[in-house]
Amino acid sequence: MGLEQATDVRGRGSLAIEARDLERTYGGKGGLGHVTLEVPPGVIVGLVGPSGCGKTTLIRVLAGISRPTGGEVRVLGREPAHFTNTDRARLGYMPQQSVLFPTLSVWQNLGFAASLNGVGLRRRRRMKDLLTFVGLLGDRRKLLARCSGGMQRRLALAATLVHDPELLLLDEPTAGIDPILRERFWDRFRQLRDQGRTLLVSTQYVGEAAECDLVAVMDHGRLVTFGTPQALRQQAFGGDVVEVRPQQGWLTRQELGRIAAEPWAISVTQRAETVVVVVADAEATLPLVVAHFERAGLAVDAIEATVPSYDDVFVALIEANGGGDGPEAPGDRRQAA
Amino acid sequence: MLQVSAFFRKDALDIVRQPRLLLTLVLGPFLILLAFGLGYRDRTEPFRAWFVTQPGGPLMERLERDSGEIGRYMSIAGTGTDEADAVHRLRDGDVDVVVVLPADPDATIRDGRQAEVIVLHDRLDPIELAGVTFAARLAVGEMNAAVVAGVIEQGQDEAGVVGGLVGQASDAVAQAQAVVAVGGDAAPAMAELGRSMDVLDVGLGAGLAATQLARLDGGAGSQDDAATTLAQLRQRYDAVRNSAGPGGAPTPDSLAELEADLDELGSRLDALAVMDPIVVAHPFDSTVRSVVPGDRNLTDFYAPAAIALLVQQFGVAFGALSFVRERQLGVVELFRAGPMGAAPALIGKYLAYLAVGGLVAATLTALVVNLLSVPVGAGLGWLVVALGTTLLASIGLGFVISLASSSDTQAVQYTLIALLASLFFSGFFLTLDQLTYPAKVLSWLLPATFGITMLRDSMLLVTKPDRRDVTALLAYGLVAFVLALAGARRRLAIER
Repeated sequence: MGLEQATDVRGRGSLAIEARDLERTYGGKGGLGHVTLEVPPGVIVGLVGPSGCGKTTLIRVLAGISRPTGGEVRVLGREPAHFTNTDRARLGYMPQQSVLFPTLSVWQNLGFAASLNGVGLRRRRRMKDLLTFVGLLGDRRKLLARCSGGMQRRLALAATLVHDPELLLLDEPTAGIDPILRERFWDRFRQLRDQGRTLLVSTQYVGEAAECDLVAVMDHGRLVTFGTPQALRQQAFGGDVVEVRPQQGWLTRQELGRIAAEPWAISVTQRAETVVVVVADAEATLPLVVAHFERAGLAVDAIEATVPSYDDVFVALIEANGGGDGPEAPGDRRQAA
Repeated sequence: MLQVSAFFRKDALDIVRQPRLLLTLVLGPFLILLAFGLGYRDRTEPFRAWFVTQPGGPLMERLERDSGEIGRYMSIAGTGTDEADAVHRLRDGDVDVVVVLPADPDATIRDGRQAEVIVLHDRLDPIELAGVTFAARLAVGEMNAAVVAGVIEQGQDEAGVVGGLVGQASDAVAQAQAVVAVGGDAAPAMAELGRSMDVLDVGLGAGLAATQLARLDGGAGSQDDAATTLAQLRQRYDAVRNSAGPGGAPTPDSLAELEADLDELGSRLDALAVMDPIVVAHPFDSTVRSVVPGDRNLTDFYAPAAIALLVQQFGVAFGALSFVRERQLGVVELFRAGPMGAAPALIGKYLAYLAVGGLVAATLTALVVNLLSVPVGAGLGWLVVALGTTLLASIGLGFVISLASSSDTQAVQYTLIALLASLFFSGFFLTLDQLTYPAKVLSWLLPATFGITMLRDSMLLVTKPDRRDVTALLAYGLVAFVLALAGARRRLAIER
């Protein structure tokens, strides 16, 4: 689902999340600034950004834990500051840290979360399914204090899902999880999305952006960009990337200038012994690039259209925004503490 | 209801999962009471007193002669004339007190002033100091009594001499009777009787003066009767002599009356002579009897207070740590985001702590009652009421502390302050009657104050707890619940 599709749904029905100029500051400093976001129902939104960029603060505001200091926000059609218990029962919130009870067993913790969210007595089946999904059924009698950090994260996810919420606000659910289980988590997220649930997932693994329908990149409390993963790639580099490795290694300035003068070239840069050519459409342009090098008598070892990693996309977007290691948002610091 | 039961299970399990903690809660106070009961000496050793006096002082001689013990609470460890040496012994711990006797008590008393006995000590503990003061007063009382007994003894000796004078007067009456019977001249015999009467006046007056010191009822008793009889005798003698006229003879009847009066005086003096001077100097002893059925020892007295204090500290400590720990765990984030209110959480916690705290209190009480033989006078029902209301109010106090604390360290400190305040203001050691009003208000802020009173009433006094105490604790619990609810709502409210 593309950004256009995502934003187009406004015309079709209510948005799961709608924020305009949303602000959450602490004593007038830090936090969130002018975040505008529209999330249609039934999508997975990835929330990525450097540590302390305001991801957790945004999630806490959306969960109705923290009151915005400016702008407007509606979640499932209601302002979070005025959530009723019925509204809250439609949400599933997973905090950044594992916050269950160490003196209770895995099963008792999940039972507590179920009761807290109003799941009645006919819940054993669901609890068993969830524990099977997170791989903790065999450890259900184990005290949480004796569980590893990863097991605690898995249980926290199960506790978030136990009441089958419509909107899931997950703050770094895959942190500390091994890659295999992380993949299972994303499978489950996609399953939930396909069932019509909406998920807002913050993550420290930028590569997970590829798993999302929409990605919001945050920096210094601001939303840098919001769109589909593909659109973000395009936005980061201005187009597709073709990498050429000439046999002679470095090209002269004249040779690079001639490539840049081609109508299909958006930009040309030399990085080590590789020439990086940004084009509008790599697949269509690749033969033209090969032809140019042949005409110029430049032998090449390899010419290929490359897909930049999301790490590169993320770095490019943040750098383009003039960001990087900025100060942490107070909400993030508090949560981390 | 679902949320109430969730919090009930969670908080109950949180405690039950710590068996060592539970064991400590029950066995700790019990073992302390047991050790106290076994180790406490019910008899106080007398204070070892070093007496300082002038060489050959009259008081010391008497003390050394009469007894090695002055009163029940002080014994003579030694005597000397050097006060500085005595103080040195006191500082070295060889003796407990130094008693400095007056140098010349006779002269002081003759001047109409009390002779001062000075007691020196080095005690800091106010309770020990009270003991020293009490023992010193008792010892000085004993010394006073010894002096009085000596005077009485002297009076009795003199009364013996007076008895001889009565015999002489009786002989003179008998001689007069014999002369009158044969119609002879009774004048010499009457003159002899008159001289005997004069000597009796003086002798009996002196002897009785001493014994008058012991008069307690304002007139009755042998001494007073003897004086009355002597006065009557003198009156009768004067009447006989006056009616007879100069050289006239007394009638046999009047002589018989004189004889009867002298016999009566003699018998009264005999009675006075056989009285024990010690008894006269210590006319009263005391026997203390309790109207409460059964015997109560010190362990019995402190057991209900220890149970009440444990119940209070259980409620306060667990209540105080409850919300703080959840906040530190970060779980409050879940509560804020979740569909729950403060009331179900609070009620669930109350029920959990009431259940587990009740179990702990019941187990401890059962141990104390069965193994230490502390009675449950007013019955189990009132015991449950006393424990339940104390626990309810204490949990409420704990929740209020929890919501006012920003860390578990702070909550623990507040809990310890509550414990310290309870030791001083709840009636655990000191009776509440000794507290003045500002301090009394502080004592009312402690659930243990009411708990201790109610448990002592129901366990030891065999009476129902005072309805006002029960009402006060219920009101306390209600106010604490309202405050805790307001605090919990504030904590769970959206962050501003």
